[in-house]
Amino acid sequence: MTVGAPRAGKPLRIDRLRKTYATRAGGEVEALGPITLDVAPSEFVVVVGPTGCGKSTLLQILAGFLEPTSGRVLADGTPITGPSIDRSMVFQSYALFPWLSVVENVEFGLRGQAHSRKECRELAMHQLRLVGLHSFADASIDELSGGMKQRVAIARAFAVDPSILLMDEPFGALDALTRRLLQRELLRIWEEQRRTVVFITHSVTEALFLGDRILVMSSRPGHIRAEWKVDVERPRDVTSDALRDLERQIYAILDEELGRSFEQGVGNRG
Amino acid sequence: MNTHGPGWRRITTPLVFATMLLVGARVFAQEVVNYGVQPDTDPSFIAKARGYFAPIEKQYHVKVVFQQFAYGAPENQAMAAGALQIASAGMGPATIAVSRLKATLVAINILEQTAILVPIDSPLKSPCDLKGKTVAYPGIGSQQYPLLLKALANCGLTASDIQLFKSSGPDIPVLVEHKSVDAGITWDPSISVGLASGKVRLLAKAEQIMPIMNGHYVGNGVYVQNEFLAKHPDITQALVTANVKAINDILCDPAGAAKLWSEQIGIPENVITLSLKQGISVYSLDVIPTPQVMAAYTKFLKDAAILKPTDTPRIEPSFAAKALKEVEAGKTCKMHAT
Amino acid sequence: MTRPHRRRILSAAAKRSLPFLIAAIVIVVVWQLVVTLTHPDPSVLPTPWATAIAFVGLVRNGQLGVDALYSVARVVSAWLLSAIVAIPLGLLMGSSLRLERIVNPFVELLRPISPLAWIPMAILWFGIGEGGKVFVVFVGTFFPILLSTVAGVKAVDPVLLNAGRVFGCTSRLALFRRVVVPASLPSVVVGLRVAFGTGWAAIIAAELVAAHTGLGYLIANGMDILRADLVLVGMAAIGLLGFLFDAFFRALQRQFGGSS
Repeated sequence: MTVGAPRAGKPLRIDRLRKTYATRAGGEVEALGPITLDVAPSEFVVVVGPTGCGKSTLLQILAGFLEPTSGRVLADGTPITGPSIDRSMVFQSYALFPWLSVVENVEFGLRGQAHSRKECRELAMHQLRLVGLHSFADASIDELSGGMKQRVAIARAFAVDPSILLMDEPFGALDALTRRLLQRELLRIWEEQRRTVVFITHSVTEALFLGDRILVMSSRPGHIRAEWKVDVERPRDVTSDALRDLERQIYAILDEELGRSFEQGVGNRG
Repeated sequence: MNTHGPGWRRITTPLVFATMLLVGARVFAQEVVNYGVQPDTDPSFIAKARGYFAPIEKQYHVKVVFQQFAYGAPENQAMAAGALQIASAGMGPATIAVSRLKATLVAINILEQTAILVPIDSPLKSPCDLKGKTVAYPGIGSQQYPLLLKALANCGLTASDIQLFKSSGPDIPVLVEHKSVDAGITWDPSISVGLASGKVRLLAKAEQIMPIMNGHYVGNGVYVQNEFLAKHPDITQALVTANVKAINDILCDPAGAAKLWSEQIGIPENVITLSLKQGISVYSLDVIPTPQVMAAYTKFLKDAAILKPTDTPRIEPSFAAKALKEVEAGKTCKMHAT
Repeated sequence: MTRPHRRRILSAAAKRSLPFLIAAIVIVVVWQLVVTLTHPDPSVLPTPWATAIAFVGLVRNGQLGVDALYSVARVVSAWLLSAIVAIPLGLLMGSSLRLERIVNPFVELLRPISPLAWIPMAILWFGIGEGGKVFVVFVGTFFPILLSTVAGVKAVDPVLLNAGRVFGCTSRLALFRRVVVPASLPSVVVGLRVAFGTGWAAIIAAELVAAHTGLGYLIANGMDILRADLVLVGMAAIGLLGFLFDAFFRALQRQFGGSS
């Protein structure tokens, strides 16, 4: 294993980001913004918001799939121009490649880089061990449960040693118990290889469990409505008084925003 | 009387019904004799045109209906399905039918009717020159295929010495004309149509290859469904006699026959005249399918694996023999077949 | 392969074939019943036994093998040719809307013309040789492969494309090679399977009209000489081979089909 010294995460700077879409009727709708935000290196930021507020759009822009209508996004001082392996991603629908085995999926990002076949395999197996799936290395994807698939996706995302990790409601498709398990697994892996993480969710409990900082987005056009730093040590007890209190505050704001987005009519641009 | 009231309708409706029933009964009481033919210079057409079927229809209360087929195989399929009572086809299909189906051969009414054609400027001089050449033919079940094999055998060759190309009878002279093939064997009147174009010539006539009936090759046979034969031997006799009468007309007045054929099958008169003059199709009052002739021909088909060794063709020469006596006695002209 | 492993594979194969065997037996029994009860002319419907004897005879003298080989060879060569042209074209068409818009009208106009309708033209253009028959099968196999390939490319989950872009496919070519092509593969295999079926049907029709060898010719010939047993042997061979090819393709689909 040739990992060497663990790399630190990179900072993200979002500067007056706006995203508008043209509607079928010919007009324009502001989906997102303005957002100005700084994410510190290796910080775990969680974004919570109602459906349609644009949080997924934000992540897509951070990933480089979409271009902002105005404003800039900088990763470690460099403007983002497109997807990069350094800004790895975990998708809500797993996005695993069905024609590849588990370990081949994890290796996928490594293959294009300067590693020998053997190295790729070793690095991939290491990640699989971290998610506890090394005995499934040669299994095919359709043999796995949803939770296992997401673990493979996480392994794949970490295998390329990214500076920034983007996670788009990664546990949204899983049942509550599997979600609890994966939240813990994610933290465990993250604590070993600290990266900058931007994590999208609609679960306040999840946000409290995971994040260094919780950002609450407003309804469309989504901007940062509120922000809390969570200084509690991990693993956290979300039923503790302090966190319960914080939960109440977050829900208060969310309820307002939820009401507003309900009136707007929920779109399908999350 | 009020012609539109309900009372009128009460009378007319049953009246119409009864009339229909009676007419229908009359029509259905008439038996239909389905007679299979192909568009060639068949004496059957002359017999029909000269009205030789009319007295038969009247006397036996039947209707003779011609059913046209492009070649022998579908004609035999129709007979197998019971759709024909009597059929006129090339001797190849005829012999197959009377060996495999419940049918019997009663006459051989055209002789020759087969020849090998080559392009007019072809260097080929005899069937022996066919080695290594492409030859168009109308398929294995045809009358032509066994003759082609015999032609090759006479030269010590087999089918594997040539390249066969299956096509339809009328298409073969066209293929030869355009030199798409080196030679073609087909039946009349397609042969004569080809010759008339001036772009093809004969390589060999059938009698040069296999003369088995009165110095000629057997061309066309008439065969009858056994059930019909058993039920109506009289109608069968009458139909065979009509055929021989027609042949007499052909021999006495070839030009008249050519005209009638031309009207019936659509081949130009001059082509038919050419066929008769050059002896491509030959006619004789003797249409008797004798055991000797049939034995030779059957053996030939068995050697060519067209008939199975156990196949035995059914023949009934008596009808043709009787017809010959009748027509010989009443002949109007003194022409004999050559 | 270990012995228990081999045994498991064989028993699985046997279990899969059982329904087909039963169906075949039922067909033969019904056939014999029909013959016994209706006494058809043997030239119209021979008994299963007579057909079986004819079958064995044709196998023994090699004729059936030769005819089957000709038919199969024609289909396989045309099908391969179709695949070589249609798969790359389909991959490109699926990826480029502009190309698709240009090519599509031709496809939609020509596709509805059944390969059987091309037979007379094929005889005129290609004459005696194999070309005409291969052409007819080509027409029949080209469109299913093309359409399946295009559909396969278009059906690639856009999330997979995004994942590919994130995880190192920096150029369009890399994304195409590493994600689009493997993701489309199950659809391509389906297209190949369907195309082979169409091609198999087309060759029989083409041989009925214009051939001197092949299973279609065997049938046409059998009819010409009133040998319905030969016709049935030909039909049985056609059915059997068609079935075997399809089973082969289904196995292939299982291998490459994956989650589709």
